[in-house]
Amino acid sequence: MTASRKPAATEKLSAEISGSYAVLESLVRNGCDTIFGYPGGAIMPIYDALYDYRKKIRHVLVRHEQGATHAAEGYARVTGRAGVCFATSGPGATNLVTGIADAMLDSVPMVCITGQVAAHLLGTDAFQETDIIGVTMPITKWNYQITNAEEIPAIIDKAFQIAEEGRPGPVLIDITKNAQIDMCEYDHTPKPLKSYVWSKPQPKTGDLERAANLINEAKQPMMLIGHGILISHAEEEVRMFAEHTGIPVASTLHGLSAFPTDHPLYTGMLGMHGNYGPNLLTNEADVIIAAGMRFDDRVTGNVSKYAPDAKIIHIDLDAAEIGKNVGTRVGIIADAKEALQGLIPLLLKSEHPEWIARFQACHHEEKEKVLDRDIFPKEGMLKMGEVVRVLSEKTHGEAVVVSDVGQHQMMAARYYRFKKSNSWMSSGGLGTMGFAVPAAMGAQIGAPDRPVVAIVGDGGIQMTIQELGTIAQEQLPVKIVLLNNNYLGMVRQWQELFFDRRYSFVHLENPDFQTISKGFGVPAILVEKREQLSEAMDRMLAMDGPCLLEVRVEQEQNVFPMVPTGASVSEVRLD
Amino acid sequence: MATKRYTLSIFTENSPGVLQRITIMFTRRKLNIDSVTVSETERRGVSRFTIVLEVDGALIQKIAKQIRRIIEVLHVDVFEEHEIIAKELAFIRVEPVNDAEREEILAIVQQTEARIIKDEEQNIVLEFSGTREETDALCDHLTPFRLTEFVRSGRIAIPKKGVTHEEAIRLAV
Ligand SMILES: Cc1ncc(C[n+]2csc(CCOP(=O)(O)OP(=O)(O)O)c2C)c(N)n1
Ligand SMILES: [Mg+2]
Repeated sequence: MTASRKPAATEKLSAEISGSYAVLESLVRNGCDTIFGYPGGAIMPIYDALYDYRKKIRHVLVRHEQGATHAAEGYARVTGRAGVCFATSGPGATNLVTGIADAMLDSVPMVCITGQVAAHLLGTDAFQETDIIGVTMPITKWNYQITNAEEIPAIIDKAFQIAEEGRPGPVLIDITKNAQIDMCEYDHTPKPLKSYVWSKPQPKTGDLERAANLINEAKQPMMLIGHGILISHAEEEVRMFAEHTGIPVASTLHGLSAFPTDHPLYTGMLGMHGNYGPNLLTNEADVIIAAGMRFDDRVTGNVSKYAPDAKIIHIDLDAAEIGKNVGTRVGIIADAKEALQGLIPLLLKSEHPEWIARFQACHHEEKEKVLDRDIFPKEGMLKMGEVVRVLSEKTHGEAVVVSDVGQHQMMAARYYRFKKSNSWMSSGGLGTMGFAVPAAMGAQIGAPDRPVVAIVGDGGIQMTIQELGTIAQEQLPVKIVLLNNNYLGMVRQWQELFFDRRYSFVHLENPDFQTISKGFGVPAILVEKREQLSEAMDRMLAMDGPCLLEVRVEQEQNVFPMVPTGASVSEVRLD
Repeated sequence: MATKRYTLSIFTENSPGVLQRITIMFTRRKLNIDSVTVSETERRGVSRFTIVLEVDGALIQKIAKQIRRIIEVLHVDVFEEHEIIAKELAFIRVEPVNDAEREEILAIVQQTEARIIKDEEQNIVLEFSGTREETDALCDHLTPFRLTEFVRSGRIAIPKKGVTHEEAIRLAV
């Protein structure tokens, strides 16, 4: 049955092929080499065609469609290209929802292809029919239902273009079964898109000049960097900007690794569990240059008390971000790299030693009250922070670190010392527990030559633990550091601090993770004592294949500094 | 929050689902739309949405930018009342019980720009186009005469200063 539908040899420019082959040809021509997916009735024709593309495309059979979406995110973040997912209609499609929402909030390029019931059954409550277009409309950058095979090539081209261009995001294409089976004319010469034209906004000279004047006159300026720096590859421009102007740099959770942690002008992370100095001193800054970040409420704290004295210069490719959460003096709608390239020549060489000294003083205070106890504890149970420190030392700050969501996430963000760009990923906007294991899997496929380490909690790992099976089947050398505190730690911390220690449903009686991991075919190591940690970490990192390192850590440790909800960033607490 | 009445003119590709994509931008902020009118424009394949709502002025600008981000959207304008010529169309059914009432209705029709489009003894249908306030005033006048049915369209609006969207839709389908 399939043989007759295979695409004809490509020397013929135009050929009759089935919609399913058109899907795969279109994926290949858009640079797709990996698909994370899970088959089912409504997408079977495409899976049948995929059988003939095994040499061109690696298909990774995940264990749950949510895993496919996070894996696609991991892949996309390390490669900068759209991650691709396949799922069947109904439950397959709805299982994608969390990961799509995650990619939307974190601007990750993704193309999801879902099978759908045949066009004549649409709207009839047919078996496994879900209106996935309606469901995903608010959480995709774009979505589209194909009911006619002829539409496939142009729509898939458009899907990749939209997912990857400008501010990236997820796109979902729903393809009815008849469109997968019907024949269509496939033109192997790429067609220009007629209905979607995107042109990159260029920084305006006037805006750059106004920004430069503010920066040149600033006494206490700060630069805030975010994910946009990594997306636009503006790391070098940020470094030049900072070194030329002497302006201290702070990063959002998603901007981590864009600027080396050890750089003398780096002051740390912003936000609820960010560093003391950058939070506190935001409210003393007179000029803030924010590039590729979006003033999320986790960063600003109480926005009405945020940076009251600062004239804000906001660089973002997405015009809708300018002025959305905080008032800006100068909005530069442009790619961060191009904006900084335009800005740097207009800036005077400068230094701000007294201002920098303020950050250093804050750092010393934080070091004494929090940092040393977190990462160099002398006694008691192992702490999350020291595990991250040891990992950071042993990987020389060069691993790709993928965190889940919770206390361990903040510890990883705070204590891993990044030397290489694009080395950190986490679910920031949606805060999706279960992100890390599948995202690390996708990152490892996208960056096969880099060490990839997931840092995950005992709660979160159980949300997508079945992907250990995928990791084993694909023999991916992903390393998983499980920080087991027998608690939904972050929620417990809030209950301790803000709900009178009423621990309402946060204690976990956990399964034997060692047995589970081994059962999936992933070797596991258990660490319960400080003396075991270093050697165990070495053993994990030396393994050729995957490995899970479970570390039993102090159960009721809290993450500090902390900006309590509703408080101003200047009310950041050290204990 | 000081709210005002704003009119959005949104130019889009004419494809299914665009209305839903636009309304999501309001419903997710729990805003209620007063009226929506959709029609094809002077250019085939390009639709024009006219949306009216009462909202805070800073917020409407943010929402307009979020709407502009929708892939199918080509251009968005936000207008205040004084910047546009705006009208809506209304049909009003009145059922006079006697000739005296009939006469009074016809007198009202004469004074306004309403038009009779159906005239049977106890079943008069009027057509009126005007601003919302003019329509409301006409209804107030007619209420004593058994006004049994009233329907009005959403607003259509055009900017006073001239066309604003020409460039934006030039490249479209
Ligand atoms: C899917 C999902 N459900 C619930 C939450 C709320 N939440 C945030 S952190 C957290 C606890 C995470 O526990 P664990 O994975 O053990 O990490 P820990 O904080 O203990 O390091 C919870 C329940 C969430 N972020 N995601
Ligand atoms: Mg935990």
